[in-house]
Order: sequence, then C-alpha cells, then structure tokens
Amino acid sequence: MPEVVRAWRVWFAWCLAVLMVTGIALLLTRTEEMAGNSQAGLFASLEVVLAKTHFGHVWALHLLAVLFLWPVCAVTVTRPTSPSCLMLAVAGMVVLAFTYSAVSHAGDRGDFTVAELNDWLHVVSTSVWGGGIFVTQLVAFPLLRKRHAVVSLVAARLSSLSAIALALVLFSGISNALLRLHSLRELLDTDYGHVLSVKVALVGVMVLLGAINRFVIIPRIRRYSIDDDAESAIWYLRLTLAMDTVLLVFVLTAAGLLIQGMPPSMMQGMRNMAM
Amino acid sequence: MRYFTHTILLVFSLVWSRPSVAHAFPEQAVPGAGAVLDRAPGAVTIYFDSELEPVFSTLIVKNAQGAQVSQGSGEVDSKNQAALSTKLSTNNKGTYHVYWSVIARDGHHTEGDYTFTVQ
Repeated sequence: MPEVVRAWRVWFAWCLAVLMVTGIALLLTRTEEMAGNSQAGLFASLEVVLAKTHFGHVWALHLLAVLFLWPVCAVTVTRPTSPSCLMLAVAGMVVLAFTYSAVSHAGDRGDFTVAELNDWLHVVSTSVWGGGIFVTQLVAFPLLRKRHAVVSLVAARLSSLSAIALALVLFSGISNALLRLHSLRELLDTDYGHVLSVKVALVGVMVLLGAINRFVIIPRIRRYSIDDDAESAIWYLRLTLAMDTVLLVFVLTAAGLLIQGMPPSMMQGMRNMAM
Repeated sequence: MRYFTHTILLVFSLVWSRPSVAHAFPEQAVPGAGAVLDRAPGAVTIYFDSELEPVFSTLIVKNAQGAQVSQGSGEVDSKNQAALSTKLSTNNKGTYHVYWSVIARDGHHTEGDYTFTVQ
C-alpha cells in the first residue's frame, strides 16, 4: 500500500519537525530561566547549560534522538517492512520518551529511579496506544475505504497492540498516582485530583470502546463475507475509532494539565517557600 | 484541508510536547527559619526535596546591615545533591537573612529567603 506509506511519511516528518522546533524553543527558554540576570548572554549561558547541567545533558540527547529519527524516517519510506528500520525507529522513540521522564517530576530524585522508570514506561506505552489510534484513524483508514479485508486486518492488529499497551498504561498510571497522591481523598480534595479523575474516566470510556471493537465489531467483520454486511460493521468500527481519537485528544489535554500542575506530594514544598 | 489539519495538530503538539514542571522546594534548613541561637553557626544548610543544578544554585547570608557574611555563593553537596550550604565568617549577634535561589533538575527556578537570630 504505497499510498499509506507516503501518507505516513508526511505525518512522521511533521511530527519530527514539531519535536525539533519545540525542543530548541524549550532549551532556549529554560536556559534563559536558569541564567536569570546573568550578563553572559543567552548563547554563553547555553554553552554552560549544555556542558554542566543535567537538563542540558538530557535535552542534548533529546535533540540528537530527533535528528537520528530523520534519516530513519527517510529509510523506512523506501523499506517500510524492514525489521531493522523498525527497531531503529522504536529505539529512537524510546530514547525520546526517556528524556521527557528524566526532566519531569519523576526525575527529581535522580536518574533510573523507580519513579523515573515507571514514568518512562507510562510515556512509552501511552505513545504506542495513542499513536496507534491516531495513525490508524488519520492516516490508514482514510486511504483504505473499500478494502474491507485490509481494514479488518489493521483493526485486529491495532486491537491486539492496544490491549498490551493499555495494560501497561494502566499499570504505570496507577503507580504514578500512588507516588503523587498521599490518599484517595486527594482525588476529591485537590485540583490535581479532579483533573486526574476526569482523565481516568475518559480512559475508562476508551477502554470500553476498545472492548466493543475487539469482542463485537471485529469478529463481525470477519464473519461476514457479503460486502454489505461487512460495510455496516466497518461503519461502526470507524465510528468507535473516531470517538476514541476525540477522547484521546481530551485525555492528552488532561495529561498536559497534570504535567503543568502541582501534585499533592509537592504541595508541602510550596508551603515551605516561606522558609 | 490536509495542510490545515497538519498545521492545527502542529500547534496542539507545541502544547503537548512540553515536559512536566518540577521545582525544588526546601524541606529542612539548619539553622531553621526564625531560629534563635546562642552563637553564630559555622554554616547554613538547606535540604531540598529534589536534586539541584550546582552551577546555577546559590545561597547567600547577609547581616542586618545588608553586608554578605557568607563565603562565596553556596555549594551543592557532591554526595547529596539536594543539599545546598554555605560557610559563615561572622560571630556577631544580630538578625541574619538567608537568600536561596536554586535550579531543579529540569531547569526550573525557585527562590526564597528567611531569617534567624543570634542573641
């Protein structure tokens, strides 16, 4: 399916462009914040940040990983089924995920701690789960309109991959919550808990839709050899996947709010600011 | 339409692709905020809830007249990178102001100040 590969290449390139632009912007803004009122200038401070700070080391790795993925993207276009190309792409993305965890709340106490490794697992598994939904809905399905057999195959594989990824998302997500909440009551008493509750509820709905796809719709597509009946089932499949895509946007938005917010485990620190 | 969709997702991704915000907050200080001491301590140490970036983290102590009485701009403990300390070069009585400014591992800045008294 060369048209699917071509479309995927465009999306991949756009994502890499976003990562590079935002990565550089974040490095510059964070350098400015670190240097404060330093008279050395932004680029002199940048040299110090990259050479002598944990953030600088990790973010240099982040930008190198993005650069590494550009030729990987180009090669996978010409060799889309090559296992080695796929492994290189996965390796690059796993490194990218690590860089986010290493400069997050989870990395406060050092690298390769339980908290950081758990957060890394959460980022990787969420990327696989969410990325699969986005690519299938936005890239593959629009180009596979009348190819029912291929749609069924793609949906079945997505369902299997999503099941594994979602199990890891739930495991690591629950672990993250246990690390950042002192008690379940904080789900009700804090803004962080409210947003987390909404996120969990949205994920719950997505799990339900995934289960409907896996146990009702996909088997029905396989069962019917007459195109009209398969057409009906495929319509429902596209509908549930579209709903999943929209819900995922809200889940990621909630995740973004949590990332920028202050978990209850850090609230005592805020009160210590008066010290 | 395709490029419009790409552009919209590009804009959204600028929001989603930011790493999380971590800040370093003090957990304990020696001497503590508001402490009243019989004699000036040899050093002031603040323990934070996360590791610090040594290059940009500072700890300065000034006397009531605003003169710096600490040596240098503070130092992060090489064995405990969540501890920031500075040595004092004074034995005088009076109120001292401690000013701390730190950078957490993710590059975010926090700062604060407090006082202690030597009677």
